[in-house]
Amino acid sequence: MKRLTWTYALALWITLSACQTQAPQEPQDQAQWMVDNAQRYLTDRAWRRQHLETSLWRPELPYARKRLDSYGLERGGWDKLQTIAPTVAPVRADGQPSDVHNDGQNLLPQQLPTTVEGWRALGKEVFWKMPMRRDAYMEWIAQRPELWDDVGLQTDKDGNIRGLTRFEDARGNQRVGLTCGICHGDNGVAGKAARQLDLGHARALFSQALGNTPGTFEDWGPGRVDVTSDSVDDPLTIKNLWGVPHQSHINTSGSIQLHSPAALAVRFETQFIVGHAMEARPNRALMWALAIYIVTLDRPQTEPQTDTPGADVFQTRCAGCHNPQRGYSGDLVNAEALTSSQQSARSPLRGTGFYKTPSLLGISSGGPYLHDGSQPTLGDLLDSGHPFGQPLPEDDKHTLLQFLQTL
Amino acid sequence: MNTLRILILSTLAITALTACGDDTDYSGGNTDPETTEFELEATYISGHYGSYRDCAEEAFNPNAEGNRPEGGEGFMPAPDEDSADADCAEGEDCGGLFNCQHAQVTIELANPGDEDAAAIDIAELLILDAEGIERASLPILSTQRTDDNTDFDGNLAAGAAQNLRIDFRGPLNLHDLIANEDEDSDGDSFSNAAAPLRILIKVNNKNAETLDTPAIDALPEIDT
Repeated sequence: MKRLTWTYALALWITLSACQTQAPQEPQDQAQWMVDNAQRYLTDRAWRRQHLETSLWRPELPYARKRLDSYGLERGGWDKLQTIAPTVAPVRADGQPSDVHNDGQNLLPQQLPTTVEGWRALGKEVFWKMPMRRDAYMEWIAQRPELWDDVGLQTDKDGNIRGLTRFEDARGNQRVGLTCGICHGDNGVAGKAARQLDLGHARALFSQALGNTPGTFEDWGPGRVDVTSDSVDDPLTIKNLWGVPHQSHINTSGSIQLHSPAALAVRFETQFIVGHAMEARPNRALMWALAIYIVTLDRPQTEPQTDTPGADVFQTRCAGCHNPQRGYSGDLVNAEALTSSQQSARSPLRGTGFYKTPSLLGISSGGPYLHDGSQPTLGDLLDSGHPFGQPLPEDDKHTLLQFLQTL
Repeated sequence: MNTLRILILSTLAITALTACGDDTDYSGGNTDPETTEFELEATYISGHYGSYRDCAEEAFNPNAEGNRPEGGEGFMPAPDEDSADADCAEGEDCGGLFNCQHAQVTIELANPGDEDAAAIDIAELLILDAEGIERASLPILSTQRTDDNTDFDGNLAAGAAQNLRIDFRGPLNLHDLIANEDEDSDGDSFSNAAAPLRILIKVNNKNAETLDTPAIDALPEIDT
């Protein structure tokens, strides 16, 4: 009897321990959970490692292997990298030089926030100003105002190039980095995909300036980026970020499982490290803040008209995958069942054979649509028979389009 | 009497055979004259084999003679608006920027012993294939301390640890360098190529530590 009691006690303890790592589902609750667990993320290596391992549900993929080989190890690995100083300066549109030491802003506050609002405010600064990666071609573009319109760069209300930031790299050189805002902050709206941004054209211009062939960069087109250096040419649309907290997975092929918002912070942390050529890591508090900010992004200024015939059609034909209760997102879908291109699902670096079901929040802001941008408009998308090749009757299509334009 | 004689002779024979069988010194010291007495510990932190898309001439070429290492930063310098000496299309000022980055590996080197170590040298970097066979020695360009980006002077105090960044010439084509002749060669194998690096560390020209990294790959152009 005594042994049975201990067994039950042990089982209960194990269960409760597991529950401590399970995050709530609602974004606002997720944010509070993250505030409550901030210190754990900052100080508990094993906890971070656990979240990494859970999120990379296909560990055999090269994308996962690289991170599993290096992040959150007991000894060595990326935790031992030096941290890049979180001091940044804007890249001015008038060509006036800025200097991190003279004009810089330290993103890291003296005291970390203690409320959701405080962490959100910090995350907002990170979103617009933290260099998540640095690229030589963009540094070259930043010096040539005559090319900015061509590649879709924007200037903000302060006269700075939106989405670019100056910082000091691990070797002490001042560099230009790309922030989240360059791709996901169109016209200063956090979370909105910059569909005019043509990074492929920018890369092509740079290659040509070096006397090299541009390769397939020009095939990307505005609003699309091939995010993997592999044998597959699969430029993907830049995504809106509003529905991220509702999604079960991120990356087009769902290679990262979002079992917890902590997985998002880990993802940002490793994204930064790779974006800086594995020479430095970011301050973890800033990555945690960024994740809280993404989880709590203000929704687009839309009002879904749920009491319409179009909403009924949606409920019948679309809600099985795009669940209204989950920000119109859903779970993974077997790519072979879909009419869309299979290339990304078969990527040698990240392909899982599946596609994530993205959130539809904000789709009324414009196309192109699907993961590869192959459908310019929502009408084209429905005409293609998305998702399984069965076009709707005309009446249903018409009313559904009206509903989709309210998302 | 005969029995006693046999026992004595047997004992002597066994003793003689035992004495001749092994001359290994079991006193606890390492008798390999090429290995130093220092016990350095190296731990892998990060690394990649570089990106040479726009500067193939900077990569390691196993067929080139005189492929001697030269000093210099692992990454092409930050933008210099006054620079006009970029290797780019004629008449075009590329501002000194290249889409290139030399290979680098970062390690933590520790001296857990009681004596200061001097004349520490990152002696050699060897790229290994899937069977662990050394396929090439990659030229080292520089070894720097990561805390202040100064050149490593080879000294490490007793009980101290130092992170070092080693810049080296990576292969232009990693897959070709490590592939076996009977291996299939396709786009996937090219893009997925990865190989461990063996780092040989010496003190006073004697072997001090050997570190084999996990498989590392070329620096991707993009990998978000």
